[in-house]
Amino acid sequence: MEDKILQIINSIRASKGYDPLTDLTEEKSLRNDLGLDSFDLAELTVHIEAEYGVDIFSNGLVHTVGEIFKQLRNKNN
Amino acid sequence: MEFSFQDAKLIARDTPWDQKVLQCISNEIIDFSGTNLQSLEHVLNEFEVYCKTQNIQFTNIRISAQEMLQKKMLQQFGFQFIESSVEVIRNNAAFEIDEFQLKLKSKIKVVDYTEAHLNDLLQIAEQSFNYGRFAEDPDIERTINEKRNSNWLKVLVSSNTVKVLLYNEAPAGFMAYVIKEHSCQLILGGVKDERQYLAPLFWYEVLNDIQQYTTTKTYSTVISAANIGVFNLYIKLGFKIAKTYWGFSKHRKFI
Repeated sequence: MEDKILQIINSIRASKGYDPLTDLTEEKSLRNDLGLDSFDLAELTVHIEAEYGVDIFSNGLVHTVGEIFKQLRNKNN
Repeated sequence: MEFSFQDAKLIARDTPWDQKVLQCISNEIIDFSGTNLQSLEHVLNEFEVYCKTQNIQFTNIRISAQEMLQKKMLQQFGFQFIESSVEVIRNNAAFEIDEFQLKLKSKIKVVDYTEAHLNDLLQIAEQSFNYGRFAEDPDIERTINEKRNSNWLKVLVSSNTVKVLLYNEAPAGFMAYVIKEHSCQLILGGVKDERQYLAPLFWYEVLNDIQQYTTTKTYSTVISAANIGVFNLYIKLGFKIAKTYWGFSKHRKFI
């Protein structure tokens, strides 16, 4: 699951001309560390919902990579 | 009130909306023009004397970033630089947005404002605006900015068109605008922090709605240059930068 999220984030970053990331750590901020703006977050949520059936923003603000992982793990449990 | 000397002119107006939250008498300079330092100094000096006699403790002014003489004179008279803002404009044309935003369309509704939305919108106005001449003034407390924004919204909903973004049937954002002749001025818009990713779609929906149902030919707004997220939003929606402003304020203490 982590690899898939990394792939999605890298595809969004690529469209902005950003270098791909080699790994994702849970404390990384989506906005400040990964450089995602509201357009990118919309793209992220659409990709994740298509892949996992989870709307990551349905319960409130998501700041970090770890918060995405948590929501996806909760769905699997 | 107006002050003039040779070719210099200074026009100011009272700002009861600022006074209400700052708890002091306030005004705003709305025109400060002239072509030499001496005449500008003269009118600004007269203005300062007037402020002292009227016990005006707070003044703000926004000038074009290119007005070098005005900048110099304001700084000389103790005005502090607070914020840079930009006016963005766009001519009428189809607004476009990427496919990912459009996929979120089923999750939201855009409706006309009703009184039932007011409390939610006031909360958004108080909590979601971190930019602007009050928010970026280090001498103004955050709570004062929050109060000003909610007061401002109360005025806006009573005198302008306001569209509301609904997510799960609950208000998650708003946009206030006014249309004069064929120009639409976007006055204030905001989205709850946790729904910021819906802002581009909301803006797109509102702008397309205006385009479809009115004879608007141009759209404009002024935003803080520090508000990078919203700045990028307007750029992606096809707006161009028309003008850059510098905002100054002066807090006076009279004994």
